[in-house]
Amino acid sequence: MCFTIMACGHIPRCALDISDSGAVRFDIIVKMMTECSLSIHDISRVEPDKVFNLPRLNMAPELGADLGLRMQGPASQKRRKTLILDAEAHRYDRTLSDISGMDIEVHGNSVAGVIRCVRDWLNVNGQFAVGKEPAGAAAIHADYQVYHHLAADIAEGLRLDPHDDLPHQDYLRIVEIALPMIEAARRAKP
Amino acid sequence: MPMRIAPKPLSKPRRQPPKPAPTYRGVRLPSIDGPSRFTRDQIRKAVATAIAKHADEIPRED
Repeated sequence: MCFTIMACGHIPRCALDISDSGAVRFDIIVKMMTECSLSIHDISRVEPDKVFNLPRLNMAPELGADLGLRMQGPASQKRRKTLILDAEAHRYDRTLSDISGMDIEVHGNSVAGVIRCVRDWLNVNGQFAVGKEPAGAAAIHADYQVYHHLAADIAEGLRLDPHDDLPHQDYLRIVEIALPMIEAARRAKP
Repeated sequence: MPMRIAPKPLSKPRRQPPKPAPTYRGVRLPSIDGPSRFTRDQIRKAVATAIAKHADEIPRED
C-alpha cells in the first residue's frame, strides 16, 4: 500500500513514523488524521492471531475516529476523503455493520488488488493536474514486483536487517529513490 | 605611511539552480525528509547495484 501511495506522488503516514514510547499511539494516529485530507483504512485483518486466537481490532476505532472527524469535526475536516478496504465484498456487514451502506473497495487479499484500489482512489481524490495523473495499476504492480525482487539486495547493499524489518522512514526513502530508477531500468531494456 | 587597501567585497556565491524533483511515470515524487540512517547517495548506489545484478530478470517496459 505504501509503495502505491508513493508511486502516486503522496507521502504515506502512519503511526510507524513516530517512535516515542511516551506517546499514546491512538493520539498520534488521530493527530495525523487531522493533518491529512486523505485516509485509507484496511479493515481486512480480522482473522485471529496464532498466539491468542483473537483478532486485532485497531482498525475499527481508527476508522471510527476518521468518520467522526468528517461528520462532527471542525469545518476543515468535513472535506476529508476516506477509502475503506476489505478482503471480501459485504463481509463488513457482519463484522462492522455500523458502516453498512458505505461504498467500500474490495482487494481480495491480493497485492494487485490493493494496488488497484489505492491507485484508482488516489487518481480520483489526489487532485492531480491534467496530464500528471498517476500511472496505471498494472504498471505500478509490475514495478512493485521488480522492487520486491530487488529488495533483499538493496537491504544487503545498505548492510541492513532483512528488508521486512526496515524502519518505516528508511523504507519510504528507499522506495522514493528506487521508483524512478526501476522505471528507467525497464525503459532502457531493448 | 602604509597604504590602506580596502578589502575586496566578497562575491556572492552563485546560487545553484534547484534540482528538478524526481518523477516516476510523470508523477512528481514527494521528498521523504524524515530521519534515516542513510544518505540518498548510499541508497542510490545500493539500488543501482541491485538493478545491475538482476538486469537480466527485469522485464522490459510493455
